[in-house]
Amino acid sequence: MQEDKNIKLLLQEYGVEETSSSFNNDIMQRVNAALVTKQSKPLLNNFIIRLLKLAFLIVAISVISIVCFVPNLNFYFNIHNNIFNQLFTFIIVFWVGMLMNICLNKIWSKKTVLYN
Amino acid sequence: MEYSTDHEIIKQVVAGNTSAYTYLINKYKNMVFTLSYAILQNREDAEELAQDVFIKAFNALPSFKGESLFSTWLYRIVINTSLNKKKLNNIKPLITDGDLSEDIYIDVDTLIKQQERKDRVKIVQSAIRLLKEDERLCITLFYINELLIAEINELTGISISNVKILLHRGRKNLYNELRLLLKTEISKLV
Repeated sequence: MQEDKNIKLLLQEYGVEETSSSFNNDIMQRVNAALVTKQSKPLLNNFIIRLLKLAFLIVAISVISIVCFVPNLNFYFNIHNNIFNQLFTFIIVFWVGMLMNICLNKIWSKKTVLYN
Repeated sequence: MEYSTDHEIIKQVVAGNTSAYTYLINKYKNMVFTLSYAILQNREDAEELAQDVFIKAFNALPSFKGESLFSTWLYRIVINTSLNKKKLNNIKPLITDGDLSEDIYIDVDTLIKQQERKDRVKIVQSAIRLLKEDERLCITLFYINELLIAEINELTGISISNVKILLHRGRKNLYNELRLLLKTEISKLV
């Protein structure tokens, strides 16, 4: 028992290694950087995203149902060619942007997990 | 601001007072570093790993339920991270000299005392580094990190009887290494 106490005193007094002087600063810098990453919020919050998804589903299902089940449907829109082209281009650009955003987010989140 | 317990500090940090985390860092940094150094045997790697451990602990603090001591929880992270890193790096033992930073000396007595302390630190730390890997780990966890034998068993997976044997052998070898190192130092002086 006395031997145990002696060796404990000896090791605690002289056996403990000391970190470099910048140790605390380095950690706190990394902690603060991690906090900034955590605090960045998405542009749309989850509730609005869910609401938009639900609205999209309802409209899509309604349109498909009407087209499939209502006979002799005279459902025409007279859209001017210029407006149609603009709308079509907008939809294409919007979805390309959306897909790129999803892909970049996935790559970024993988990198963040690896870093942590 | 002074905190009386680790739990108080943890509560503060989880509540958003991140600067309180420096109290935990100051309290445990040398223990964490000593333990990671005992496993990795490379000063730079051990310090980098000690930083990683504190970052991991910070991120996991909200999930810390206080069922065990914070120190035990922290040492578990150190051991898991160190062993993972060791598997990845396959680091070979490396013996380095102690820190040779400059100090401001006041008078001859202080100078002698400081030199004596430096010599003792150098000899004891060298003796620890000369132990076998498993002996060094058990000796560090038991005497420096003050863990119980059952806790060492839980953290490292080494059975209780083997921990006792390793501690016994470690003590014996530590004394032998200390004796040899002291002899070498004395012969250098003579």
